[in-house]
Amino acid sequence: MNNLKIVKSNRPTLSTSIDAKYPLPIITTHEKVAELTQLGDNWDGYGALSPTKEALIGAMQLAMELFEEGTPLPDVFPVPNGNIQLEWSCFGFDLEIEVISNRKLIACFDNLATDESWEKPFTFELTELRKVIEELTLRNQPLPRMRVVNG
Amino acid sequence: MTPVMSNLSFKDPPLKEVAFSLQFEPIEGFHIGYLGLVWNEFKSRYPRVESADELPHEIEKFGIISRQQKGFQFLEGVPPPRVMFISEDNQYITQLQKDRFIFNWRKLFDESLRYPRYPAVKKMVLDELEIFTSFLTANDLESPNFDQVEVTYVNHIDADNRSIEHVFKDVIDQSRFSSSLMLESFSINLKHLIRRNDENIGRMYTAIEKANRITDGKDIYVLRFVGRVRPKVPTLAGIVDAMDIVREEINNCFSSVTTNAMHEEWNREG
Repeated sequence: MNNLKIVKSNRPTLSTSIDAKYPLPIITTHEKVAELTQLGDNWDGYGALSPTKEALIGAMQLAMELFEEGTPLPDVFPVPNGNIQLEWSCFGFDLEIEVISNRKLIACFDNLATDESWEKPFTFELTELRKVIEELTLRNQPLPRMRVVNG
Repeated sequence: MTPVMSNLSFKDPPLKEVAFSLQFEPIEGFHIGYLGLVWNEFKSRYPRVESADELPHEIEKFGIISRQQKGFQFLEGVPPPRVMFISEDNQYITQLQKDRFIFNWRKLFDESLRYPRYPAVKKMVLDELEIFTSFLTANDLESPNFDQVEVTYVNHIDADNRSIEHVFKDVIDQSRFSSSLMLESFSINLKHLIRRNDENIGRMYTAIEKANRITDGKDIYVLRFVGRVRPKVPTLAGIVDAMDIVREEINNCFSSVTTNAMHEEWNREG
């Protein structure tokens, strides 16, 4: 996978939106994922595989599909098997998403406040994952200042 | 799954092109050499070969944010091609790439050609697919694990002397506009979820636009349907079921957007 080049295709999908400019968390995540294209095989010294093309594209698409303005930035890691992991540990949530491709994900979620915990694969139905990321985004918003009104 | 059955059938449908794209997980070990070898199985009926860019592996997802997306490609040497095996008369194309089998029927220049009808085309799709899967088996490659069926119907409707209201139901009422404004062109896009048993199983994209035919410059209405459904099971039975579902939904949409007057012109049979 050395010498990979990212090309942004001009071919639009059938989805439409009035927003032409992507939210910052998408752009930043894309940059982090793009850095992983520099990794060759054995990047960890223990025989790890370089990130697969499928995982790189899957991670970028996932950001496009689920991230909004204000979504906390995930840590982005290569996994020795060629997959890519996105990870959040903030606002009382632990969320890890291992991206295999744009149609295969495995997510682990822990809500530290409620003990809700699950690990499950995702393919085409991402509603449950989106809800968790929406909640993270909500908790990442600055708290409104209390206004004191006298008399 | 219980498709809503539509009995829509015309003696002279305005169809210009029909495509069935059966997408599967990339087959392990299916390299570019096999794309050349497999032509041996098809070349008696498809003597011409062309190549095109590989289509991306896409599936319809649900629960995601719908925003215009740029596609991403990671270039790693020469990208693998999509090969197109074309019949002598240009009517039929069988296309292959590492994760798709596509069958097209099209009416290019000979307006006297008749659409062979869905049951006949479906049989052709499945016959050609069987040749491909037999080739895989003969070469010790795994069988396709299908993850999406995409069916496209493209209709060209002559726009000369036909107002938009005459052809399409409730799309644009020109009488609401000033008589000093003459509609020159338009483009309408609809997106529907395809649901069965309270679950989303796919999407239907309907596009209507006014355009000029490349061959003679005439004004035409282009009515395009693209339906994508995830097979319930990733096998041949699953794709047959999915093809039938998409075809029925295309018929339902066609019936919903076109007028009875046009149905009569196209000689409705059912």
